[in-house]
Amino acid sequence: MSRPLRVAMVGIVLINLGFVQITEAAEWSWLAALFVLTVAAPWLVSLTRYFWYRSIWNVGVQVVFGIMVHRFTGVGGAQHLLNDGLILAVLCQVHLLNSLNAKQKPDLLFFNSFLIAVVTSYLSIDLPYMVLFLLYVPVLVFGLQMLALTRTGAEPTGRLVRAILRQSVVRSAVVLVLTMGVFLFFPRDFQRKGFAGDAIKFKPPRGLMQTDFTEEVALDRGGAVNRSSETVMEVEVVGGPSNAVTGYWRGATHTRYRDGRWLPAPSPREGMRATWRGSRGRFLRRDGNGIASLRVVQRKSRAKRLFPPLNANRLRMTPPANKALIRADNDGTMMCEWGALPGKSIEYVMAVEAPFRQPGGKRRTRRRDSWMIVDTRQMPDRMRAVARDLARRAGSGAMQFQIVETMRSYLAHGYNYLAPGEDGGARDLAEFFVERKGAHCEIFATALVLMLRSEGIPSRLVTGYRSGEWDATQRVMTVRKRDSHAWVEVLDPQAGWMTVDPTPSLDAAAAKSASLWSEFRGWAETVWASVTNFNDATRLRVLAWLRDLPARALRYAWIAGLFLVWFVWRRRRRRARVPLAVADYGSVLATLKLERRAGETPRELLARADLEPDARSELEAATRRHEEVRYAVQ
Amino acid sequence: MSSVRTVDAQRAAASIRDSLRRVVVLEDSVLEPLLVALFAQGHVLIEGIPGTGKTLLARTLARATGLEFKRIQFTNDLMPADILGTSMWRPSDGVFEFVPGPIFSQIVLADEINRTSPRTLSCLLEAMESGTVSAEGRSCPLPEPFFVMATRNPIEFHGTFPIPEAALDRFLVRVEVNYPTAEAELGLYLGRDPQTHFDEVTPALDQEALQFLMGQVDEVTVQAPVAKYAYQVVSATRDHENVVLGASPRAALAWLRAARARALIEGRTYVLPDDLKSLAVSVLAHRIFLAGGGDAANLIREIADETPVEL
Amino acid sequence: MRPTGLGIKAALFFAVLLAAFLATAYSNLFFLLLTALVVLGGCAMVWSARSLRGLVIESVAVEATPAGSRAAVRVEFDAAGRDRVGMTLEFVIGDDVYALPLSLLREERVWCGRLPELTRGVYTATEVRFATAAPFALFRTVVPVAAIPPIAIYPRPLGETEESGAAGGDELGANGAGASQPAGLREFRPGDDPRRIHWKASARRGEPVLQEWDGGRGAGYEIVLDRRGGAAFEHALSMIASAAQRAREAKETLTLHTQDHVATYGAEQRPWGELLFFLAGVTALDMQAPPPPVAPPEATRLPRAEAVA
Repeated sequence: MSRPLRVAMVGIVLINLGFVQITEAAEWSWLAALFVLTVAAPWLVSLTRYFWYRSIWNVGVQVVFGIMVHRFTGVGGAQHLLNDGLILAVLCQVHLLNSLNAKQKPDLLFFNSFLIAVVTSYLSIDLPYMVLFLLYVPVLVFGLQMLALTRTGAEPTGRLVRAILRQSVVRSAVVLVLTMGVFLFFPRDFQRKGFAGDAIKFKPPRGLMQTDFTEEVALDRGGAVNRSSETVMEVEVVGGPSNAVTGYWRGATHTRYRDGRWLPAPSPREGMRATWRGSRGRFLRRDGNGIASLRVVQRKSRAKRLFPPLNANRLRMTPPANKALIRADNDGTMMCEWGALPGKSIEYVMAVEAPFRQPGGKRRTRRRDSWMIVDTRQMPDRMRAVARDLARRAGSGAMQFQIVETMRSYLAHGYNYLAPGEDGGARDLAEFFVERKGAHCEIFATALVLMLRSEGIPSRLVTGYRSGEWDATQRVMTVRKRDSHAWVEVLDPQAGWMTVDPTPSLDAAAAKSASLWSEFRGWAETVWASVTNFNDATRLRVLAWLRDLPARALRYAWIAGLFLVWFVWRRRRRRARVPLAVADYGSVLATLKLERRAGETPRELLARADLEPDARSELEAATRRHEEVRYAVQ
Repeated sequence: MSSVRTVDAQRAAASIRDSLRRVVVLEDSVLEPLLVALFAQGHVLIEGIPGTGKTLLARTLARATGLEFKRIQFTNDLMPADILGTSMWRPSDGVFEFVPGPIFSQIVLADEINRTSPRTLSCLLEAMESGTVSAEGRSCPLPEPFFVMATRNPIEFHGTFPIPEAALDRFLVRVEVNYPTAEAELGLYLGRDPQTHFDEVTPALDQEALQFLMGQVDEVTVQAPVAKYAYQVVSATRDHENVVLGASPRAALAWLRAARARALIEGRTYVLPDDLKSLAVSVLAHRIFLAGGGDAANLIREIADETPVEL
Repeated sequence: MRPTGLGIKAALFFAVLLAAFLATAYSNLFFLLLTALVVLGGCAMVWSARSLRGLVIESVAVEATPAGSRAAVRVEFDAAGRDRVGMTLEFVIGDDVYALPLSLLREERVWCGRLPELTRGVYTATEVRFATAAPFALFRTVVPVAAIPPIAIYPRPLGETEESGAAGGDELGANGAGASQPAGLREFRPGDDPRRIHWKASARRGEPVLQEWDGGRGAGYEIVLDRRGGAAFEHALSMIASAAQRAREAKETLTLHTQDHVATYGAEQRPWGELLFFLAGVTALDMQAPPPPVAPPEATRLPRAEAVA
């Protein structure tokens, strides 16, 4: 087996290990060992001629297989099945790589690698998968080409490998582009269940199950946060002004707080919700007056929550396409009682009516409802002092909303936002207030609620999603799992429940740290998400976009013209440039880091150069080729 | 077919070179131009002090190639007829019969040519150039191959005639023979008598093979990049400020011919810039004339090294 | 074009994946991967079909080669500006297929390879073809070569080494005396070619001595080949091959007298290639066959009597 083929195989196995690694299904200790063995394969391969070496591998794989069977048959075995199966699959890859002797065919390795790509696509759909897939295709193409060359018995010389590399770049690009074309245009049933769909229930492993909206709020979130770009729902404005859609989608309300967690408890329905004027600047689509008709497609979810928009004072829902019973609670949240969710998508149309109402109420509504009682021991001393100070600063005759705004802006401008799970973030209110560490939205919101309550202003925490992904041309807003957010609602004596968001603007935080890389990453994630969440609607949108393309393209025809001129000019120049043999010789010199003096002949250079045997023979071959083409043949 | 022949050329040259090395203590820088001149059907001018084995070199070459050999010692009283031959009266037949002189030989060693009168020398030069001898109003062809090795003693000037510059152009290559290195000379003292080695020399190839190989020289190809290099070197000698008279187109042609022969000896069917470079000094140095009599060899070497070689 | 073993396996693999895809609920990524596989297969088919298109084979020639050496194959082509990597040039000779790996890069015009060693004989390939499984080893394309070159493996000349393939032949006389042998020494007589003086012997005796050679000189080589030779027949053929080589180098002629074949080769005669072709294909006759035709007495007779005995 030739060296370039081995290298391609090592590449394939490394990518396979990457596939398995990003699913987080396999234990890291296993993978680390496999990574090491894969990278060491070029050195280990010389041992394959020894029987003992091959035996160790064969026995080893069987032992691992035995361990896995044992685990499977043991307690709770089924949940190991997927993890262990993946480990076994990559172990087989590494086994094939390390103990194939020269006569054996590496076909199985190629097939197995594809299988791993397929299986892991069920478990991980995030950006790393795209990166690995984009790497996998060229390596596979190169590997197959090397396989074809090796099968003929040819010696893969440097220039053959270079020619194959050139071809693989072009060919993998063609394959990728065609694949995307088929993917975009091939009509298919996105809701297909599969003829054995019910029998085959593909459950992701436990580690992956925290991807859904959670009803629990605990301040110390640690690293358990979902940054997945998976779509939660897509909202299309089918009628009415598009600015009727807010970026805030309410999930659950939380009223009772103790020891760093919010406990589920009912809160009274008092008045309607309205946006709080003081914070309206941070709502994506504000001034939502008028009636809009929204078509919502909510992806399958384990939680039974539905997410109505923030400004929906009144909702009229058409029955969901798939039969479901939806319950609206008196705090303005909705649950899917029966039917579509969980695990399925749901689609419905709702009409949103969002009249804006002025907050008012000169006097504070000092309330002592049971759910509002704050145990002051839950609050750091400094926090209470700050709350009192802020209330005083607003003035004795201040209206409630002025106090609220004072506190909101104190938090929003005085503290740093850190994404959940980021290093150095506050884990509780004491760290937040005393050490002034950065924190995530839940801590900001909790702090505001507690501060308001300590001043007797009724308020509650709302969890849901906040999205900024508005496609103006398609009038579609996309909400993703990573958009989950927490904010505050305050009961205004005049206007009812009003929304206040104390978290510093995410956009501002993002802008502060926006680098080219993060911009690119964001773009790539969006693109990839549109692939993983591809559906009929997306497909139709793409087709519509393409229909309009000629008209749009005409506007930029001059750019294409310039490009064409440049292309022709470059082609001309390239044709007039040095002969291939000279270029080839030059490239060999460049790779060997040699410089030819003007008066030096290639042979003199060869005699002068101080090189390793391999490099020397390469230079010799290049010199000979150059000689044959330039000095020998007409 | 041609591949078989080029292998032969390489082998023949190697075995001639081996024979020469065994007998005389000379460096490759001398032997190579010598062999090149032999195969390219040119002539050699050897310059050097006496006693460095020039005569033995010529004799060995003659024997190694199986060619006929004659030596002519040039003196100031040597007459053209002494070289070319004279007509003798044969009483029995009643006719003049032409008795060929020593120049009617395949390898001629012309020793110390700067000692003879220009008249005699011009006879030699004419023979070298035309390959025929005109004597007694007749033109007699010289044997083939015809190879002249002339020596010139640059040390003694007493009683010598200057050789006209144009005459030097007749020689394809000029080599300088110096004292051997200390090591080589010691080996010479300790080893067997060179004459014994000489006796053991056997012909490496026959005359027909040699002539075949000489014909093969013309088959060696020169490509544009190589020719361009030759042109650039030659034109650089013309433009150089110290040079009174640069290398002529004829010099360039001679250079390329020598390079072809070298390529053949090396077993190639095409000329490399390396061939030109290694022969630049021996072919070009005696064809250019420097102002103030500088060292032409060094200048040529410098130009050949600095002229860019086209890839 | 037909699928290779790998191609069939790949098709089966694809079928299994397709079944799995249809069995499970729709998943975008699974569809994407499956699409990639279909595209890869489709491209493999198209590229395979195109892999030999535009390639112009100007000539395929097999050099006449002595037995025991690997015959050189020379292909002149025009790759039409494309790299064509991973082809094989296949010679179908009888039941054997000799496949030479061959990759043609766009700037090249000539390719040389070597067949495996063959025994003496003239081989006619039933088919010569270019085959390739490039680019992905999934499909195999074949283009036959129209003009099938004959493969002539002539007997190995004596004294030739395995490696060089060039004439050694010292034992046959450095003077180019062909298939002759030293017959003895005699004193130098006026008129003798001085180049024939045996210097070593002369040095021993103190007077010039000539080495005499037995066998064709002067007017060329005359060889009578008795093809009823039996065991020494092959050896005799080798000797003729050596003689031919020497004669060719010395620009002499060689006349071969054998049963139903008398011909002279050399300059202005029949070309040497014909003799080699004859030597490659000639077969031994049985003992009842007629003797070779009458030849001049100075002709060398092969196989030699002592060799036959």
